[in-house]
Amino acid sequence: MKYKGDRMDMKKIAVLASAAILTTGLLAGCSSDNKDNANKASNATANADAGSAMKDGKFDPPITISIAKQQDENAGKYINGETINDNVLTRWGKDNLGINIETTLLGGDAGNYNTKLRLAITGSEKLPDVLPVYDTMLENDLIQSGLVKDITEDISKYMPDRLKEIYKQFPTSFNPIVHDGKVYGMAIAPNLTEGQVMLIRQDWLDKLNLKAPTTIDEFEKVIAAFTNDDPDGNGQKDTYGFDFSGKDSYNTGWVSDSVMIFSAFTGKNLPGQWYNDNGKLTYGSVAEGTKEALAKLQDWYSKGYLNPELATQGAWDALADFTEGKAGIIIGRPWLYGSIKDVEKNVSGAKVIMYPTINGVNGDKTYQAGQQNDGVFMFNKDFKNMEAFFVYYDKLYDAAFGTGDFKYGYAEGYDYDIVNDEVVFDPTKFNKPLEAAVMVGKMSFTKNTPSVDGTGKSFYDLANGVEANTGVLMRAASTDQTTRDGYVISYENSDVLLPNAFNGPPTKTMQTSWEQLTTMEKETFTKIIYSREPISAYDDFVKKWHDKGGTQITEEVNEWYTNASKVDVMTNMGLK
Amino acid sequence: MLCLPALVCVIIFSYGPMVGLLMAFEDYKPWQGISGSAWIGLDNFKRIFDYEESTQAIYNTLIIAVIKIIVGMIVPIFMAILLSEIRMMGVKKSIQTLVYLPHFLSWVTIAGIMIDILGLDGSINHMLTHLFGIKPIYFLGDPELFRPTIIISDLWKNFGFSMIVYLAVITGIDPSYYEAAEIDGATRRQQIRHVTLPSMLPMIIVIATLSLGNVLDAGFDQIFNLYNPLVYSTGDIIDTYVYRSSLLNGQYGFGTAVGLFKSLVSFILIIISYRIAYKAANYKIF
Repeated sequence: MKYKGDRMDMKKIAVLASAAILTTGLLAGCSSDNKDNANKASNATANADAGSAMKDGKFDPPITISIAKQQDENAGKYINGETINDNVLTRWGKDNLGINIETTLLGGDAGNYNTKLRLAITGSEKLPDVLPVYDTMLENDLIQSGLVKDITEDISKYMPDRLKEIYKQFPTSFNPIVHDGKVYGMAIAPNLTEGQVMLIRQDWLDKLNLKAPTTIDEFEKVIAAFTNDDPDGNGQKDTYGFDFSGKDSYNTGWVSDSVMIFSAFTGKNLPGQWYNDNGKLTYGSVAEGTKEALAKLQDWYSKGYLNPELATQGAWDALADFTEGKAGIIIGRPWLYGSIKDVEKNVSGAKVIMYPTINGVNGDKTYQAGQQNDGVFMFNKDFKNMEAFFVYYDKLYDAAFGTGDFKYGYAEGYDYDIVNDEVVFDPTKFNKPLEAAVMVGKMSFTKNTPSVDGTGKSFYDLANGVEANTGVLMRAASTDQTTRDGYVISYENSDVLLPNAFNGPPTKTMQTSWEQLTTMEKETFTKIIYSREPISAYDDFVKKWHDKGGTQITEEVNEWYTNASKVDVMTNMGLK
Repeated sequence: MLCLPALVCVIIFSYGPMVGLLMAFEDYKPWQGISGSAWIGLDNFKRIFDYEESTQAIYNTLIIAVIKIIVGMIVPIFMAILLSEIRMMGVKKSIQTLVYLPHFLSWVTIAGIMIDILGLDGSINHMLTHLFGIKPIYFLGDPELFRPTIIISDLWKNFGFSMIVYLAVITGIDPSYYEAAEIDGATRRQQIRHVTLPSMLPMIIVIATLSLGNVLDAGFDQIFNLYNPLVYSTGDIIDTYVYRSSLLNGQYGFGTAVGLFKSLVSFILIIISYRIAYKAANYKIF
């Protein structure tokens, strides 16, 4: 086993990692009582439990870690007759690390999985060693039940340095699982996911002699022209400017988003999420500026600039109008291009280009919701093999760092292949062609493949002439140019991504009143946009929101935040 | 003695889980169990009626469910009689199959199709504009039109199923009644009124009684897939409301309370209709 650093910024990490591996070899012969030496090289020494020691980077006798799992894309798609408990990744772990991963609690969809975990809390099902949890209420239930362990020390002791570097960047991801200054879990593969960009019909812009908008006024001009000046040249008024969805949220965070218009007036206060204003958490939908944004949208809707069916179409349904060539602007993550590029086939001459989102009225950028992790890992209080867990977890990151066994991907013939000495990522061109690549990275405890690519670093590096020599870079290089450009924009604008400042379990008043408040919010916003209610209805809403529990909830949320940030857990975990 | 095993099974599997109903009166926490959780009496039930959103939801549920039940009774009876009068077997069978077919589609599928064809730019509106020159109608976004849309689409999907039950009853009527009626000089219409309908009455009563139990069930699948913030005021029902509020919070106690409340209302209604059926039509269902 050998590590090799490929890029400058990774060199340091790679050196540390190689050092760790070397130490492993040297210490392998020693007895298991030198745990104190292990403070730097996590996987260096023996395991406390059952006398299983690590020799040559391998546990002997082998360790078994039982895990809970919510089914992922691999379900029903394992190839070569493999199963959830016997596949290319579990075998790799057994052969190379001496660690067996066994799924003992398996849930179908999110609801089903949560139910099973809840049953495990009541004791009617066995609680596995490693628990990925995707629901804040459940995280809280698990902490309260006393069935999960405080891992503050384990993190400081066993977490490999390159992972520590990652977790250092996401201190708020610990907030939901801190209780009385103790840390009961950690985010699953935290990574700031790519932000949204503005997709515009470039051919329409060109035809009407317009430039891509950068301010709200320019934006208004463009969508007005897209609606009234017949951009598709068919002599009919059958197009409109801005396509988004308002059925479920005005802050969708992935595609068909309208949050840009709100943020243009409210800055960092986004509808439906909490903003940390210097240690004080406030709710975005009742923030100043929201009224102006709604007034703008109402005006635009009445003039026909917006998706006429925004209230009934979900985020994904709203794409249809853009794909059919009826709408001129839509907002989404860069990969959205792949889903709407049919418009370039459906309509002759159509061309879509991605641009950064517009600036706000005060000249600042517009902000949007950011996602830093999906769920957290929690551990059974009787689980003794934290070290082994971190060894395994660290290995899964090899594919993200482009190091070690997983330089190009996890398994040849599964998520990549080497055809005629060339690395290939297109599954249809494998030696044994597949319909879709197999997601090997998701076969053990992570539901999402670990990534350190942030909002699109690999694309940014490629654009700056870095040679594509790791799996991540090669994969990026194999996507189409428009998408690549979009990711570069996303990476350059990473600072506009704001994760929700409140990521804890629902507070007491939230449990009883939050639904009424959200229902009222959605109803008021949508009715104002459709002119079913006058803009003054917003003021009534804000007043009612506060009276019906909003004030109380804001207090509770702040109380939660104070509690979560009271103890400097980051230092305790050695993540400072 | 022989039915003892079955009895034990019933007690264990049907009555045993009813202990869980206690959750409705508790601030249930899974790790504390049913016996360990704090007893809060009727607080969960009070919550159902506390908020204007939830009382609105109860009202919407009643309106939608009651109309669905009434329309869902009358139309299939009517259709079954009409269909039974058709003498060409081929036509009869194909109509029967056609109206029965939508019953097998799931609401998710139908909702997708409906959103498409009822859209401002959908085929229904195209047709209306073409024929009558009226402005496009926003069926799913107009609070006034949402309930009728829900009721009609539910009828379209489900009436074929109940119709088959009535058709079976009509087929089972002794032909000698008709012969006798014909000899007495009854017209077809009179035969329907005095032979067919009375023969169907017991079945109509059974179905009516059973469907009364659904008076608080306005159809979660359907509404959940079709509603949106514009029509919350007329379209939000108990089930969708509870779904939204308990999904977010894992509120077992509240969820159980709503469930218990619904069963209680259904139970009372079924008892009443059972009595009425017995008194009025002298028919015993159970």
